[in-house]
Amino acid sequence: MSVVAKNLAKKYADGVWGAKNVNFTAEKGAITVLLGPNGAGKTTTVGMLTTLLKPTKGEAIIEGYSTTDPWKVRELIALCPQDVRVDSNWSPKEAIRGYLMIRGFKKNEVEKIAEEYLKKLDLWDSRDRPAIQLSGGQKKRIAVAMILASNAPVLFLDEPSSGLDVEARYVVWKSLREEAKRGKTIILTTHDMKEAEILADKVVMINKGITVVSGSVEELKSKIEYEKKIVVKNARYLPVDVNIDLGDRKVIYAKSENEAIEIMKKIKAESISVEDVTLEDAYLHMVGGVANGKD
Amino acid sequence: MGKISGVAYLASRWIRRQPIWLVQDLFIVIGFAIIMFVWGGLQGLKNVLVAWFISGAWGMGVNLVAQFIGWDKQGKVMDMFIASPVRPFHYVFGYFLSSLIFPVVDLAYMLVLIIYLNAWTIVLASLVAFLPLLLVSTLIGLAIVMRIKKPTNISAITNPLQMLLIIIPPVFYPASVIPETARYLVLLIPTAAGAEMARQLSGLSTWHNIWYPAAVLIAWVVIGIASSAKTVKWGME
Repeated sequence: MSVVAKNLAKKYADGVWGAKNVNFTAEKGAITVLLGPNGAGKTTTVGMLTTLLKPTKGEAIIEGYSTTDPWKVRELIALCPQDVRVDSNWSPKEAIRGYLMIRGFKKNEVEKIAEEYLKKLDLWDSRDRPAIQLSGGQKKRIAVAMILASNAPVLFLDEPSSGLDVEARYVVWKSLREEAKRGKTIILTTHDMKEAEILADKVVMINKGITVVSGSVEELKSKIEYEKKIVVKNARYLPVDVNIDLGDRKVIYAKSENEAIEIMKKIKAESISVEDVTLEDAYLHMVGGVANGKD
Repeated sequence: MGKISGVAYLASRWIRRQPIWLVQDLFIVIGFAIIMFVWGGLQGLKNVLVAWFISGAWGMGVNLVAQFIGWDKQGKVMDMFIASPVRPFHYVFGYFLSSLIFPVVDLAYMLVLIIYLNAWTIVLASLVAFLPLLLVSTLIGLAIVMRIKKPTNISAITNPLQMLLIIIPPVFYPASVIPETARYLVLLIPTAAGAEMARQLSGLSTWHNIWYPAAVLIAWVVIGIASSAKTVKWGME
């Protein structure tokens, strides 16, 4: 295992627990997504894994080294923090160049690698412009490019696509998949279900500082008892229990296609559609409490 | 070395983009030299050399190195550095190197004056005070900026702190003009102690008590280490 989080817990100086019991493993060459609502403990967990924070309890192991030996671990990791603000005077090229110098690359390698990642992250055309002249999304991509270009075998990205437009998100996602394919261990946090579903080899759901469940997207979807989701618009007659009530739209889960058809026959509404359950539905059941009727 | 030069490279980008700050320094050097010459003749010019080293050390620590590290912390760029092979020494030394351009350029501006006055003793004496004062300034600056929560407060605090300790205490004027009893009190200020030490070492001061400013500077180094040790952390918080 490339990364191991074992019973990780962090109590801050003000007495608040940022994480209470986080457990998961991450493999080399795979993207592990830490998924959870705001305040779930994702950033605290990344903080402990990247030696920014000292765990109050538990153990974090990176490539066989415990974070109790932070200097060794720091040789092996790179971090793109949440809401990082790169210096407004740095151009994309300078930012990557400087970061690669820090990571010990030789001068002749730096230019080549910088060019590769500037192109990958769609920053080539604006490579020499200072960040102050770039959009928020471009600034974010500078930080992502710095991390991806590094030679660290384990990469941590805390909500790397927040604030990016659709196109830019796909650019980042594609680059992340390519790095995983190259054998890097990638740990990424998000509360975006679509991002997790598209990117993740493994999803770790965290809520209230505790690991709720982990597994591949398919494994997590199979953990809920439903296969289908019926979305009803402006129901005139609805003689079944509603799982999620969104006002003029209701969501009803069905255990099989046949059950979905049976339910649909009973309903009278402006429109009815049936979809396969997604990671979001699994999340709502396991983290959001839908299964317990707390919608 | 790559780590230090990488940090220095990134930290020096702002000077590359805003070189006008170096031109501003030229105006200040020339301006103060004229003022000091008009009021104090050649002795005034010699004193301005001491003052430039002292104000350079104080400004570089509190207003450049500490201020920029404070901004790095607020912008979470410091977290990127912590989660990397960079060690605190590489990081702070990288910032020192990138900021060194200011005293070096100032020295270049002053070179004409130094050669004209044959003031190499003053330069050497000032350098003796420059180094501990730079350390004090950086440590105190870091202790302050690491406590600041709002990014906009960083320069709002470090800029006045820089000016306050350069303009009011005896840096641009000799401490010997202050009555002896009050002088001991005034020389507790690190910039005043640094300036007095440099003046005494170069023979510019009429007062002969080198141990007092030297002891004050050493005490400030200890205070700086103690106060920054509490707030300056490199991860594992």
